[in-house]
Amino acid sequence: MSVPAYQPFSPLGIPQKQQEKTQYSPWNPMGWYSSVNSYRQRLNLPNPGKFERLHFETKDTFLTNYIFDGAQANIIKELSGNFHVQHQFSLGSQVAPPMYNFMAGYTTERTMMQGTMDNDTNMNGTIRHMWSPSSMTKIVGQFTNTPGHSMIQLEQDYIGTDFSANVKAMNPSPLEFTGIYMASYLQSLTSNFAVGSEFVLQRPTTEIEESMMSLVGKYTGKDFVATAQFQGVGVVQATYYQRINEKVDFGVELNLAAQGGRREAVATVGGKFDFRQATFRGQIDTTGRTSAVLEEKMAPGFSFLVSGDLDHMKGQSKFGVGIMLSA
Amino acid sequence: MQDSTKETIMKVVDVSKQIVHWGFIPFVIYLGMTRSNPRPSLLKLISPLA
Repeated sequence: MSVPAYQPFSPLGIPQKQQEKTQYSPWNPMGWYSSVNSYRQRLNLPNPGKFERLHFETKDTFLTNYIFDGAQANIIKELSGNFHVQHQFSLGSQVAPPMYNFMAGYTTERTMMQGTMDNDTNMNGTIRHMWSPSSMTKIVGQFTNTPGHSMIQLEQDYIGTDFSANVKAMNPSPLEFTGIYMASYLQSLTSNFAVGSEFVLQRPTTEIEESMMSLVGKYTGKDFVATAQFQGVGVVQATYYQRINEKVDFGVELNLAAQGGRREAVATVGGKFDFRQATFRGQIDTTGRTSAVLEEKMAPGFSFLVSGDLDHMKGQSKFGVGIMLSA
Repeated sequence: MQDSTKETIMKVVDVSKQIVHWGFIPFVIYLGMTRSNPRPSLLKLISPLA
């Protein structure tokens, strides 16, 4: 009599069957999920990208994040491959007082931590951690000495093969269930078309509750990206991004708001030019505002920045010069 | 929930807020100084030009 080979996890010595897909009849509801899933896998759709980066390509040709006024100096010190500190001085701005900002950042493959503190002892901190390639958590905190101005934001991202989902909570209070809660989902429908939706719930106090929903669509072509976002209250935002060649990108944005008999629309055109030694961004919109930022890389680790902003309708202008040193 | 419990929770939240406010950047610098490769020297961190 031969002794049966030892089979782990098999009671009564019955050899366990290899896990294989059970074939369900098409009318059996138990099989609908797996058949939808296998159909979905066969389509082989790409990931549509993150919801919050929906307008990213267009916004990157604009200079909203790059414009400054007054004089600015940035000193970046790379202390090692994954640790850097930055000192930022700004002076002579028309809108902000003179400021000093210190930043420390630590990055590894999966974790990113960054903290900034300014001379008014306001602290901003960000922690981002990737649990797996598809799951990411982000915590953003803002701490001030002014009571009621501190805030914290918790965020969880899930990136699937053909969809992205994100939930966010700003200033959540589990005791009274107040705060701002957001959930968004973006799904690829064909290899270049994706649709998505975002739901926002605002509960600043226990009495007031407000919710908002928006629908988005994104079409990605060979060298262009078109997006549209419809918000329930009559707000439409449409963007178009076109890559002219590897050095020149253009973006257009149209914002329409029709609320309570008042209609407003603003269109913005921006262009980004990458030269060998410089990056130039220019932007003009229908309110008569033109702005431009030039970043000239004079030498390795040394950049010179010029920024200008002219509002022809209001007759306001802002200019800035800056240097950036990195070592 | 009792008012005293609520007060305790508020106090704990306040204290931990202060700890994060002042302790987060030193913590990031500590991580950067001890866990990065190659380990940077303290002089490089402090002096503005080195």
